[in-house]
Amino acid sequence: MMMIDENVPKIASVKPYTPLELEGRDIYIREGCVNCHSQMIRPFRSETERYGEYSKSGEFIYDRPFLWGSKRTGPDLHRIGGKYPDSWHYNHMLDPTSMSPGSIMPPYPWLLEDDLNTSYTPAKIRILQSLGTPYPDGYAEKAVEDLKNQAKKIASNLAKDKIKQDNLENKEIIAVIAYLQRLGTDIKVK
Amino acid sequence: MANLETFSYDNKVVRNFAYATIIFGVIGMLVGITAALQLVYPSLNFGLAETSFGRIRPLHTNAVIFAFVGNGIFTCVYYSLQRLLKTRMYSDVLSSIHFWGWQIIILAAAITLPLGMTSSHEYAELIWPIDIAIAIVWIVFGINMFGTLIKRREQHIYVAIWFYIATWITVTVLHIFNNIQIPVSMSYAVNAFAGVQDALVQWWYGHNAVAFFLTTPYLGLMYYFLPKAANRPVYSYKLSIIHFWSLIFLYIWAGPHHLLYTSLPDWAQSLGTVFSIMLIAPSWGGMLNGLLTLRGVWDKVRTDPILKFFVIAVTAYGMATLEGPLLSVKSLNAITHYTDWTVAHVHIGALGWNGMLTFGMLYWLLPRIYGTKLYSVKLANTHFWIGTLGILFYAIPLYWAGWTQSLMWKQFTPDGLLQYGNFLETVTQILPMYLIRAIGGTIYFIGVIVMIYNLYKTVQSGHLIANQEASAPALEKYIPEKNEHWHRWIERKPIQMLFWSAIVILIGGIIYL
Repeated sequence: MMMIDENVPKIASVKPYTPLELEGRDIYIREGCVNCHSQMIRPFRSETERYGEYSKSGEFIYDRPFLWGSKRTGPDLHRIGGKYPDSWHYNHMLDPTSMSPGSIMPPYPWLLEDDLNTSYTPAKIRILQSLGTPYPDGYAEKAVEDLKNQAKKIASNLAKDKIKQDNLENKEIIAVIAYLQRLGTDIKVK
Repeated sequence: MANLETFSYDNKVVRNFAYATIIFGVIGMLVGITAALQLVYPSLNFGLAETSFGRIRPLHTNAVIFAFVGNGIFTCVYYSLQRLLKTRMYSDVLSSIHFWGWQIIILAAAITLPLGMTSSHEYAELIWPIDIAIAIVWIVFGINMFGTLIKRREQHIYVAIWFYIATWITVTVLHIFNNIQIPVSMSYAVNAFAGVQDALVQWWYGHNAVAFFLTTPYLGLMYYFLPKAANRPVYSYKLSIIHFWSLIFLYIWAGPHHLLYTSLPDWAQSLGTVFSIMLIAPSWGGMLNGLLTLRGVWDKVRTDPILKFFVIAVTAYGMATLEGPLLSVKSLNAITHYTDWTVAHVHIGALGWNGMLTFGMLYWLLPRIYGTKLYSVKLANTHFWIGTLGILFYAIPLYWAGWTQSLMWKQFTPDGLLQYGNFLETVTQILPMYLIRAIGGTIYFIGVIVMIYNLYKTVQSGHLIANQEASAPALEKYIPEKNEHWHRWIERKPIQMLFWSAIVILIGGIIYL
C-alpha cells in the first residue's frame, strides 16, 4: 500500500473538489450511479476514441471513496465534464430519454425538487483537511458561501438556456451538474 | 473407555437460521428479478428514489450475499459444528444473540440502502453504524464457535471446521480494514483511503468477500454434507490439507485482478493475475475432493435429488473457479471487464454453487431436525430441474450479451472511426438478452417456490426436535499415535488452526496494506 502511494504521481493541475462538487459527488454516491457507470478509462484506442484521454492514477488522489465502478451498463463518465452544456444534464436527469431516446437510465425527478442539504459541508471539509486534502486554513467556514456562489453561476447558465425554476440554485441537481462538469477536466489542455 | 456422557444438540437455532435463509432467499431473488426487469423496462423504476436501480441493485447483492447465503452458512455451521464436535453449542444465549443480531442487521440494511445511505464500496455498502453492529455480531459468532471447540468431545477437528475457522478470522480482518471511515453523521462517513489505494483495499476486500464468505464456508459445508448425503468418506485427507492451506494463502493476493488496465500500478496488477491463475489448483482440489467422494455411489446420484443438487453445485464451483482465473488474464479481461460477462460469472457462483448447495442442505437437514422424511422426492427432483434450467436461461444470454457488447465497443470502421460511436446502440442491441435473463431468474425462483411448498409439507408432517439427545465419551487426554501425520498436531488444537490461518492470510494481506 505504501508502495502504491509512492507509485501515484501527484499532478499539479489536479485540485480538490469545490464544496458544491463535493456535495454533488455525495449525491452521485447516494443514487448509486457507480452501479452502472465507471470512471476509469482504460488505455485502449477503442476507449480513448470514445471517451477521451485514459485515466491517470494521479487524478484520483482526492476521491474518497474511489468511484471507478465495475460495470458499464451506461457509458464511462470520467471525461464527461464539459462534454455537454449544463442544460443537457438538467434535462437528462429529469428524463434521460429526452436527450437520448431509447435510454434505459431511470429518471431522477427528485433531484430537481429537493433542496441541497449543506449542513454537513463544513464538517466534511474539516475531515478531508485532516486527511491531507489541501484546502486553505479555515476554509470550512467559507465553504457554504463558496458553494452558494458556484450554484448561482450554474443556475444562471441554465437560465440562459431557458430553464427556469423557483429556487433553482438551491436544488440538488445543481450540485450534481457541478460534479459531472468537473469530472476528468483537471488535466484537460484548455 | 471413559464414561458415556449424554447431552443434546440445539436444533432450534438451526431451524431459525434455516427459515431466515428461505425468507431472505425469496426477498433477495425477488429484488434481483425486479432489478433485471428494470433494465428492460425503465418504467419499473417507478420514478421514485427508493425504487431506482442504483439503490435496488446493492439491496439485491447484499440480500443475497449476507442474508440468504449468510443465514445459509449459519444454519449449516450450527448444524454440523455441534455434530462434528459431539457437543451442544457453547452458549444458547450467544446463539440467540447471533441469530437476532444478524436479522436486525439485515433489516437495517433493507431500510438504509433504499434510502440511499451507502458507503459505495461494492458488497460493503452499509453505513458505519451497521458495520459496527456486523463486527459485534460476528465476534459473538466467533466466541460461540471457539467456545464450542473448547468444550468438544471429539479430539480431531474435521476439515469442515478448518474452513469455518479460516472464514471467521479472514472476514474479521477484511471487514475492519475495508470500512475504516471517519463519521460525519449517523449515516455518512469520510473514507480513510483515497483513489488508487481505496480501490486496492476495496478489491482486496471485494474479492475476498467472494472467497471467504461465498467460498470457504461453503467448502466447509460441502465437506460435511456431501459425504453425509452420499454415505461415503471424503476422497482424500491429504488433498484436503493441501488445498485448504494453498486456497486461503493464494486467495488473499488475487484482488487486483478486478483492476486490470486501470490506474493501479502494473506490478500490482500482474501480481493479482499470477496469484489468480495459481488459484485454479486449490479450487479444483476442492471440487475434485468433493466429486471423487462420490466414487462408487454415482448410481445414487441418479435417484437422490440431494446429491444432484450437490453435484451441480460442486460442478458450478469448478466452472466458476476456472473461469475466474481465466478472466484474470489481461487479454481476456480487456474483453469481458465492465460487461455482463462478469454478471453471468458471479451468478454461476451464486445460483449454482451457493444456491444449489443451500437447497440440497435444506432438503437434507430440515426433515432430520423435524424427525420426519422429505414430503416429496419427486418435487425435489422437479425443483432440481427447474433450478438448473433457470441457471442456463440466466447465464447463457448474459454471456452472449457481454461478448456482443464488448465487440461492439471495440469495433472500428475501415476509416478508423468507432462503428458504434453512440454507446446507446450497444445497449439496445442486448436488451432481448436482458429479457431472457430476467425470465431465467424467474424460472430459478419458481424452483424455490416449489422447494418452499415441499419443505412446508415436510415440516407439517413432523415436530421440531428442539433438543436432540446424543451421547459420546468425554474427551480424554490425547496420546499421539506413532507415525501420526504431522498435520494432526495442528488439527488437534483450534487455536493453532486459528493462529496458522491468520498467519497465512495476513502474509498476503499485510503486503497489500
